[in-house]
Amino acid sequence: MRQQNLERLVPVREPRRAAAGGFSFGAEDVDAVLGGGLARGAVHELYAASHADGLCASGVALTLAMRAAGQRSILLARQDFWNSETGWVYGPGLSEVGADLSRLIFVRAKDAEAGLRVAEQGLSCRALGAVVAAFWGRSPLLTLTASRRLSLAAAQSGVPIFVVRSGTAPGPSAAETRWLVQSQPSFHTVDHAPGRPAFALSLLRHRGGVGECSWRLEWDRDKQCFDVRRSWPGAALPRRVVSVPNDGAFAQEPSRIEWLRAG
Amino acid sequence: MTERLRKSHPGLNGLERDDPPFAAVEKVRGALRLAGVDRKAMQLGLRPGLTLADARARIPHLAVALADSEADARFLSYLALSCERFTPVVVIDRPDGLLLDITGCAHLFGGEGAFRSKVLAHFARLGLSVRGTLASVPDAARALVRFTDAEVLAPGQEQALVQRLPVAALADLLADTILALSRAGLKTVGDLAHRPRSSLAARFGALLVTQLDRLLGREAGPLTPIRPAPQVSSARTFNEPLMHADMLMDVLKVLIEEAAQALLERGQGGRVFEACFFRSDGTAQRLCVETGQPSRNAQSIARLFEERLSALADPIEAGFGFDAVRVSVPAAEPLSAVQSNLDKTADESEAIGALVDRLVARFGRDRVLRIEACDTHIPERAQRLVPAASAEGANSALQVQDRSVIGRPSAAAPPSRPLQLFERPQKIDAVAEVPDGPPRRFRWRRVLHEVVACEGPERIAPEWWRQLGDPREDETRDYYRVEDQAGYRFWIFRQGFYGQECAPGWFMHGLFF
Repeated sequence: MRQQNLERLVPVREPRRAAAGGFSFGAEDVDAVLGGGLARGAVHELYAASHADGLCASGVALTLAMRAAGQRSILLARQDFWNSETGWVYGPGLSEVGADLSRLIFVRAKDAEAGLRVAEQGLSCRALGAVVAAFWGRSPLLTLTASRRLSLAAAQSGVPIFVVRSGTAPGPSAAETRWLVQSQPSFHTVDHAPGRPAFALSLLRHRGGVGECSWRLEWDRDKQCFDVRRSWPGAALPRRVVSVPNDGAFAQEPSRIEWLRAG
Repeated sequence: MTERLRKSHPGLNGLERDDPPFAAVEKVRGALRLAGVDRKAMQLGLRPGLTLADARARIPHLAVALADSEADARFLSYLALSCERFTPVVVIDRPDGLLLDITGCAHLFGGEGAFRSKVLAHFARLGLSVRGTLASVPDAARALVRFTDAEVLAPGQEQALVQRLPVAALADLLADTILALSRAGLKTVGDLAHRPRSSLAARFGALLVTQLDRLLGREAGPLTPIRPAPQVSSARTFNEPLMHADMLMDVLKVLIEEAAQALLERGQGGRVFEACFFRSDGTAQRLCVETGQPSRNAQSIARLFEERLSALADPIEAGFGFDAVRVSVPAAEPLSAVQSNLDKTADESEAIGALVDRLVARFGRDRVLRIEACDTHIPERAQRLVPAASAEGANSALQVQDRSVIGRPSAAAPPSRPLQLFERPQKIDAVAEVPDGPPRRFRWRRVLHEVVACEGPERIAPEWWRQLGDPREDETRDYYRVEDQAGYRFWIFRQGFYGQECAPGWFMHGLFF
């Protein structure tokens, strides 16, 4: 009897995961910490660390969506404000990070409300691989209730959704995971050109109980996976190297010579 | 025309018995002449064409308003739309008539006589006095309604009446021709009908003979309906007006199912579905939904209409109720039944298509897009955003082509094109080595960026076969991929060269991920 009462008191139950087995980052370190990867059919939030990181956050969301979607289509809903802030989505650039343009549907949402509607419509379609919804700035509509709706819809269809937020601080939400994205200096190529996309990804919150942690990752287009670089340009910037004199006596040794690494 | 003007002028209501006679006037060769007169003025002997001064001399209390032929035409086409509740083929017969093709429609309204009175009642409710004649030949009906009081005519009867019509009943004849005919003693259509056609044509022109043939039903004239008749349509007329807008959706669902069934029988699928709501006050509201693929799935089409209805800025008002609702399919394409594949790929692409349709119904065609690559070096032209509802699968081939233009990047090479591109390059202040070195630092959006890594220049020259626009746009650009001290990557370019008349400018064009 008491058991029944309890069940009546707690009517809302977590919906069963529609698609078991999540998707991985492809970087062993990250996947090991997350227990194999992220859940499908859930809301994953990506916050840009600053205004300037908005593009980076949407890039990470897109690449994550590509990993989650596999051969399926991706629905990309974006508030129009992004167009003036970070520019229009650009096909050649998208194909250079490995996206398949024929499997990308891009919806221009007038405001946050339209963006939420698109996202919800997309989550109702099981044939989609992933949904990316990008919102700019604060909005009274993006509440706990809205994210709860999205997460229920995602759980029902098994389609993951990546919510990108820029220009705002994290608020309460029903998201499965929450990440902070910040652009990072890339690992330069041999001729000192900017390298592959690089960013710091910090896990702020995980419903599965994984604690806060942070990685510096690169996106590998050819393998379509993320990559953890152990030696970073910040640590391996080229420095003054003291030449070895002929007579064998060293000049004064630079104090941080132990930082020098070959790459 | 006079009735429209009366309605638009308060105080000229026409209903009170002691209202003044009314006429519309227009300026013809410097003089104001009557263009239309109402019944009362007609009884007093006023006729169109009379100068206003003469009319005023005869009837000093004549009320007058300026005629507006454009507004008349608009009103007529509005009336034509409201007549679509009777038949899908409505033809505007300028300047003051409507021609309804009622082939196969009359029995739905209880016979031809009942049909005519229903149409007249519809106009009477709108406060218009209208005459109506039913005949088997369009031109005969057009002439008979203007020159006789005939109502519903059997084919034999019609011929006799047409013979007695004056020659002015022939459409599109010039006043000179009519005058010449009457001078020749040819006063009625019957007089002409018995003459040898060749001599008539020689004397009065070929037009006369053509019009005569059309009037007598010897030749079919063209009929141009306001809109082409839909391929499939199904409608409901209600005995009592439907008062609740909520109930519309239920009616709509039934109609959509009927239309879908009709499409199935024809082996077709609709690309465009249109719902028309006829209100009892004469307005007709229309809603259209489009599908990317031909479809006859009643459920998904009903969902599209639901989306469309809920996205309307001003929702459909019931007002005094709806008389009739119609669902029609203006555009249909062949659609054969498809067996679903074992691997469900066909089902998936169909589901994606349905999703796109729903999004288009809700947000509009120009907001649901696919990216199509174009074969050009110019960065801003290298892609095109096309409505997802129209583009299907054409872009994968182009994408391969596009990569070959840019040069497929070697393995592990960083991306050479930005993830996002500004629609218009944004001006920046840059410090660079003269004459064509890479930038050292630049200021963009009031933030100073120190360049720590750089690649370039990648020189992109304008396409010589397309040099039309602004000379500034037609200058060679040197693109650099740069990274600043904070780890942001940009695509910036220098337009023009140092040492020329105008100093080169630096621009921000895109952002790398």
